[in-house]
Amino acid sequence: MKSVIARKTIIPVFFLFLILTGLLCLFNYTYVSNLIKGERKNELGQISDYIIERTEEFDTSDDTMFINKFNELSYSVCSSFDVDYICMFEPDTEKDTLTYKSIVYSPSYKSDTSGTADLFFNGPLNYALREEEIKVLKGTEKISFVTYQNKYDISLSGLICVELPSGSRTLVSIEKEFNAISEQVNRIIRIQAEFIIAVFLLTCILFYIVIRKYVSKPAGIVSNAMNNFVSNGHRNFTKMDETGNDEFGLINKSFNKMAEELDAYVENLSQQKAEIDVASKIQIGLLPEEKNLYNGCRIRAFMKPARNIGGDLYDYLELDEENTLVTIADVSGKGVSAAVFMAATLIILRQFARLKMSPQEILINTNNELAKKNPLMLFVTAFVGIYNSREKKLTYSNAGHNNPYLISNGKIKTLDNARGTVMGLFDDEQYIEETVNMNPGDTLFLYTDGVNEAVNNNKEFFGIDRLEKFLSTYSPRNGISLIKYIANKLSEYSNGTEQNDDITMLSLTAEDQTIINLKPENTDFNKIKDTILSSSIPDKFKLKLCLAAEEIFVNICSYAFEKSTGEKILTFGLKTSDRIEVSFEDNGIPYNPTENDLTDIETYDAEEQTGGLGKIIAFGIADSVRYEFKDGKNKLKLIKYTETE
Amino acid sequence: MTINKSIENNILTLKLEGWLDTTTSEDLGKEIEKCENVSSIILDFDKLEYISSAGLRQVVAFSKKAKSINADFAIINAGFEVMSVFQLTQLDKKFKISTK
Repeated sequence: MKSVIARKTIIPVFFLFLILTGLLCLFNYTYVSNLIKGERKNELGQISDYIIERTEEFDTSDDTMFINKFNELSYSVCSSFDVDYICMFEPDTEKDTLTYKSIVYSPSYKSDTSGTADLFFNGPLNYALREEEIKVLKGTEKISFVTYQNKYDISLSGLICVELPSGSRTLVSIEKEFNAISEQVNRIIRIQAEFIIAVFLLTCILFYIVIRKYVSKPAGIVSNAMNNFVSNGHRNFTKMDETGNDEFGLINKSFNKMAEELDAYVENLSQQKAEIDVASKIQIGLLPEEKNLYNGCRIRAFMKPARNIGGDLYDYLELDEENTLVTIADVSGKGVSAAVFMAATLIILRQFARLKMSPQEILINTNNELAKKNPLMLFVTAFVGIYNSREKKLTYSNAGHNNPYLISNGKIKTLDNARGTVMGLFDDEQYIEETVNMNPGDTLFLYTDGVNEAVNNNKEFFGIDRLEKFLSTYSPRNGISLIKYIANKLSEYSNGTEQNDDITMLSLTAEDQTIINLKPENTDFNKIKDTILSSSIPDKFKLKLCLAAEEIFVNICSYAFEKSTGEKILTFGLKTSDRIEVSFEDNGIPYNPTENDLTDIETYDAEEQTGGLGKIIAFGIADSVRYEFKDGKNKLKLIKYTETE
Repeated sequence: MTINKSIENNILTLKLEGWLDTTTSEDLGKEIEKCENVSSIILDFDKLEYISSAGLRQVVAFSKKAKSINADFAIINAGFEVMSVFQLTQLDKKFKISTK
């Protein structure tokens, strides 16, 4: 558990107080020292007055006698006034020396003085007088105080001038030790400081414990509870203790309340989310599944809703053997309302389409139905096209939707006519329709504005120009469908940026397909030959495809039915769209020709190994070969791309 | 497929016309059996539109037959489509072939 508050507040306060205590002690020390010093000076003054008074009473004209009397006086003063020692010396201001005349120690004076006392009388000592001493010697000041520091102690000395009977002026120093006082003062102040610090330290510790217990700990508990609440996914939340009557009690109470409300809210939210998921599934379920629809055309569709549930729709439907319907639409708005409207639109459109109406009629009738009951005034843009594979024509009508593209031999053309207004707003709106030729290989590309309005990290649109560029550079050789190709480009472009709108695309590629049943006999190659030669594929590919087909066919005839006893099924398929597909299906022995490595052409001796020739020729002609064994049949497909590389 | 056969100065020339495929290759096979006492065999592909591996096998068989009777063997006037099949199978390196 962290006690940041306690540490952050108490430690600085403690140190601040330590500094303040130090300053207080320093002040105390100076103040008390000066106070004592003053008192001491007073005392020394009185003593010196007394000494001067008494020396004036010395009735002698002899210096030695005078000094003897002075010694006696000094002794009595030392004894009765608690003075450390009194000394008399005669300075010589010219030579800067001094000569001791008398020195008397107090009996209680602790210094070891026996040696030094002798030293003092051994003759003149070098000593330059201090300013205070000169003043006293000259008589400008009656008494002067000097602080001495010798190797034993610090002492305060009162200096007075005494004139010997001979007339020479001597200085008398009355000294009192100062150490004892400062030590005493120090001790008192130290005790004070220690006491204050101890009390404060104790207070701090107590305060720390209190903060830790009543602030940090409850704060930690609240913090943990909040963390767990989120990471637990709002479940198994243990209630906080609400009993405390302090602020934390209140916080805990509020937190519990918040947690409960949040829990209920989240529960409600996930319920709604689940419902939306179901709605989304229903909606997606309404759309046709992507599958190989053969009705003379190939259809691919893609939808990526911006949110779980969207307002875009696409649809395709085999109306009869030769007509295929394709629809794309975009409902205004987003979310549930758009989705409901989308579902209604999809079903109405589909029902009118099933009645074999033309695109124009489908739009007119759907619009009337939608406009009748549309209180929210939602509207829908839609494109409806019907491709007739016999006539190789697309008939279409557009209700305010993005113009689709018709891609033919790598050239893109905008289908920008047959335009009417959006559906759902006005009754009796009229729509027109147009017809355009679609040859095998031509592709109709439908999309919603989610495509061109897809954004990248810089919030820039994908744009029509980029879409057209990719549509015209697409090649079936990429191995992926046009829709998948554009979807990949969109995904690369948006690079994870969340899309604001549903992205929906649908493509219809016109195809020519012939399927014929064959007997596994070489003579049936003529049927294959006739099929290929009479097909719509470009002449330059016909012979090559015949050759590839023959080689596969001969192989199947020779090997597939070796052990077969039942009905021999063999079909040949030729499909022309943006590529040519030659396919064979047989119910013979499972055999995957793509698995066995092709004979190595470098070491291959064609004269000797003529058996492998067929596969070399067939696989050499095809751009890609696909094999699968499915539903009890070998399914082999040779693909040849018609566009020039 | 039709085969125009002519022998001149001990040189056998077979002019092939049309498609030499799995359904017609036997026709060429019959010619191999009949072929005897010639010093050279020439296959003229001028009017041959199509050849498949079945046809190639007969061509290979013919070349072997030629070897067995010590006759020269050559292909002349091969068109683009036909030549490309020889190239695909590397057989162009095995025979004397002249193109159109």
